[in-house]
Amino acid sequence: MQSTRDASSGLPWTERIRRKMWGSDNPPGLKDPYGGPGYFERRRQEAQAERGRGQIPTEPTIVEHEPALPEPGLPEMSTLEEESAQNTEHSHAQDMMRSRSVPENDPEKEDLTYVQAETWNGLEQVGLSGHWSETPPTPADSFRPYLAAFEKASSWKEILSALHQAVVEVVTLRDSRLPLTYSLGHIAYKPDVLAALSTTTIEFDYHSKQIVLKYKDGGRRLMVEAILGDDLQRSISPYEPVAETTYAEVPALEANGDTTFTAPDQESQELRSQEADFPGQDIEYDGTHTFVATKEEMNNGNGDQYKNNIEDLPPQKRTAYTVTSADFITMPLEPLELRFAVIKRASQLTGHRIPDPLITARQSLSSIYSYLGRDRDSPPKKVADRLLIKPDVINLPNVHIMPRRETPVDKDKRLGRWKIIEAELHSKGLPVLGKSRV
Amino acid sequence: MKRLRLLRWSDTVLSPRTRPRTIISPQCQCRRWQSATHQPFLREAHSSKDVQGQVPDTLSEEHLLRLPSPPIQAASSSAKLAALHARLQLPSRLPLQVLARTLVDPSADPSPQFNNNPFSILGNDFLGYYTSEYIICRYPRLPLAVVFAAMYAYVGPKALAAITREWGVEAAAHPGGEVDPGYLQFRRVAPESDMGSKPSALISPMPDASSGWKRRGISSRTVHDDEFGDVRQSAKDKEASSTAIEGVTEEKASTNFVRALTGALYLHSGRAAVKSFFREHFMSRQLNIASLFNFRHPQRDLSRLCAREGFQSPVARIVSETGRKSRHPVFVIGVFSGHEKLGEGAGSSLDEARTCAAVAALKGWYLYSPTELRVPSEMEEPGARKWDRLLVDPGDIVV
Repeated sequence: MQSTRDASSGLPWTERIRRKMWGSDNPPGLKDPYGGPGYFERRRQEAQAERGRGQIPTEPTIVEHEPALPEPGLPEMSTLEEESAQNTEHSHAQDMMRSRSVPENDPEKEDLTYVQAETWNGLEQVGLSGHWSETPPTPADSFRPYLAAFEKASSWKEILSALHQAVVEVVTLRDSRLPLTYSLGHIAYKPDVLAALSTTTIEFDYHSKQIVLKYKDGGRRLMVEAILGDDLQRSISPYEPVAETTYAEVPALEANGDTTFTAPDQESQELRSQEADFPGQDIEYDGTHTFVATKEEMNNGNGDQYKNNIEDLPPQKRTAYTVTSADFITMPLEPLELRFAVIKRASQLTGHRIPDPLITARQSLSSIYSYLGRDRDSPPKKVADRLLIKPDVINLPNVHIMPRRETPVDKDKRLGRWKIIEAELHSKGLPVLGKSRV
Repeated sequence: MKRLRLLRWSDTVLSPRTRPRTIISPQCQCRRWQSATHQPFLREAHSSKDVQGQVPDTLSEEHLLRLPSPPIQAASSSAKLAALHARLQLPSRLPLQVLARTLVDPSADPSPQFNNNPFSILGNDFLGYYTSEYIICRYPRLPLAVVFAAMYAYVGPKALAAITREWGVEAAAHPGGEVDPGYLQFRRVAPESDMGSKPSALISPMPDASSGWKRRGISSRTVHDDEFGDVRQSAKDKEASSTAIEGVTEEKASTNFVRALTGALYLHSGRAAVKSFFREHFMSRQLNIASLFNFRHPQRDLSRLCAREGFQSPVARIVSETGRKSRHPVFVIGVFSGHEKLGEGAGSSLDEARTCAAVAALKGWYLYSPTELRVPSEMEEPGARKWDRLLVDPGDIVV
C-alpha cells in the first residue's frame, strides 16, 4: 500500500500530498506552509530557554508539532478527522498538556525540576486579567481626533480662509525647515498674528517652481514665533508631542542665515514656565476661548486628566478672515508631503474629512475647495465664489476674478486715470467719490 | 561660423539673478526686479535688515502709485497681458514679464532697465533688415525712393501703430505702478504743446534747409539716413527734443512697442521665431508697390532708361483709337523700342495716352520680379542651398 510505504518514510501526510502535487521531492515554497509552530509552542520554548537548564531549545520542526503519525494500515480518512478535531479543540489546557507531554516522550530531555501544577496559582498568565476598564490609562490611550479641534466650517469665507491659513502655516514651516505638521496643535492665534496671517500673500515662483510667501512687516517672524513659542497651546495636541530640541534648533537656523526670527529669550521662557504653573486655566485672546493643558498634566500618568481633556474640550470656533486673493487655490503644491500637510491642516481647520483620492487627484487645492463646499446648503451667492469653485475657469490665465464688484474707479485705476482725476478734484477742492471730507 | 548664444545672452541681459553669485552686480539688490524670471524669494534675514526705507515685500497702493511703471510681479496676474500673449500666438519661451516690459515706453519709465528701449533698438534693426531684404530681392530694380516708401509702408511708424491697434493693444491714460501691465504705457504729449512737426521729407528730392544741401541726395540717404530715408536724429537733437517735449504720441509709443516685441522675441525665442513672426504679421500685409511710383517726366525717364540699357530709343505709336472727332475720344498708344513693345496706355488725348504708355513701360521695368524669391537671411539657416547672386539694379535714372 502506498500509505504504508509513505508512512514508513516518516513524512507527514500533508507533506506527502504536497510532494505528490508538485511531482518532486523538493516542492517549492516554504518549508512549512501551514503556519509553523503556534504561540504556545513558541512560548514554551522561550520559557525553556529562560529556565536555562542547559538544554538547547530545539527548533520547532514539522514533525514535532504534527499529530502522531497514523498507524500503518489505518485509512487516511481517519487521519484527517483526527487532525481536524485537534485543530478545533485547540485549547490552552490541551496545549499545555501537549507541551508537557513532549518531554515525556524523550526521557533524555526530561525536566527533573518540573512539578505539575495543581491549581492555576503561580502559573504564568497570558492576556488581560480582570476587566479592561480597571487598567490605568497610559499616555498612548489618550487620543483626540484632530478633526474635533474646530467647528465645521459653514461658509465659503471660512473655507477659503482655512485653506489660506493652512498654506501659510505649512509653507512657513517648510521655509523654517521645521516639521510640516507642527502647526496642527494650534487653535487660536493672537490678533497681531492673525493680522499678519491674513495679510500674507501666497505667490508661485515659476523659477523655483514652488510656492513662496510674501509677508507684511515682519509677519514671518510673528508666525514662526507663534507656532514655535506657544508651547502651552501645543500641549493640547497629545498626538503631536513637542520636540525638546525646538528652541535649540532655532538659533542654528538663524546662524545659517535661513531665518530671522529670534529664539525665545529667557524672559519669555520664564513667562511660559509661570503660565505652566497654573494648569487648566483659560487664556483669552480677543474673545477666543482656548483650553490650556500643560505638559505635566499629560505626563504625570493620572488617567483622569486625559479623560477630562478629551471629554471637556469642545470644538473651537475658528476666526475666519477675509482673503484678498484666491489665486493660491490654483497653484500646484509640490512635493506630496507639503500637499498632504496642507490638506491635513485644512481638514482640521474646516472640520471636514477629505477623502484620500482627492489628495492625489490634483496638485492644487481647487478640487479640495470645491469638495469642501459641495454640501453647502445653498450655492454661493457671490459670483466670484461661484466661479472660484470651477477649476476650469480659475485655471484660465486670461480670466481675472475679482472678489467684489468692479466699479468705474477700478477701471480708471487700471488705466492710470484715477490719480489724475483725484489730483484734479483735490486741487479744485471738490470731494472725491461724491462725499465731502469731514 | 560661431553660433550665437542667444539664450545665454538673454539670460545675462534679462535675468541677473540667474548668474553665478560672484558676479551679481549691486544693481540687482534693488527691489524693482527687471528680470524675465519671477522675483526671487527673499530670505527674511536679508529683508529684515534693509527693510528700513526700502520697499516692503507687499506693495501697497501708495507704493504702486510712486512707481513709474507696473512692478514685475503684476505681469503674472494680468489677464489682459495673458490674452495678448495668446492672441499673438507668441511662444511660451517669451515670458509675460518681458511682454509687459515691451509695453513700457521710455517716456513712462526713463530707466532703461525697465522700459522697452533696448528691445526697441534691437527689434528695429531686425524689422528694417528683413523688410529691406524682402523688398530688394522681390523687386531688384526698384528706385531707392520707392524702396524707402515701401519700407515706410511696411514697418513705418504709421504701419506699426496700425498693427498695434489691430493687435488689440490699448493705451493707458497715464503710466504708473497701479496700471494694468497689459496696457501700452507712455507719457502723452500735452495738448497745448507744439510738436514742432514738419512735413516728412520722405521721397521728396527737395533739399531740406535744416540738414544742408549736400545731405539730401537720394543715394546719400542710403548711407547716412535711417531705413526710411529720413534724416537720422543726432544725439544732441535727441537731448534737445526730449527736454523740450515731455511725452510722445501714441503712434511713436506703438512703434516702439512693436519693435521692442520683435527684439524681445529674438532674445527669448531665436531667429526662427522672429522670422515667422515677421512673415505672419508684416509680410502678410497687402501693399501695392505700383501705387508708390510718382513720375514727373515719364517719357524722358524712359528714353534715359533705354539709352542706359542700350535699347533703341522709345517710339510712341497709336495702337488703336476711337471717336477722334467725338466728345470722348480714346487713344491706345504703345511705346516701342524697335519692334519690342515696352508698354501701352490709353487716354482721352494723345499726350495722356503716350504718358500712360511710358509710365506702364517704366513700371514694367522697375517692377520686375524674379521667379524664385530668395533672401540673404535664408543663408543663416542650417543646410541652406548655395547662394546665387542676385542682380540688383545699378541705380536710379539720373535725369
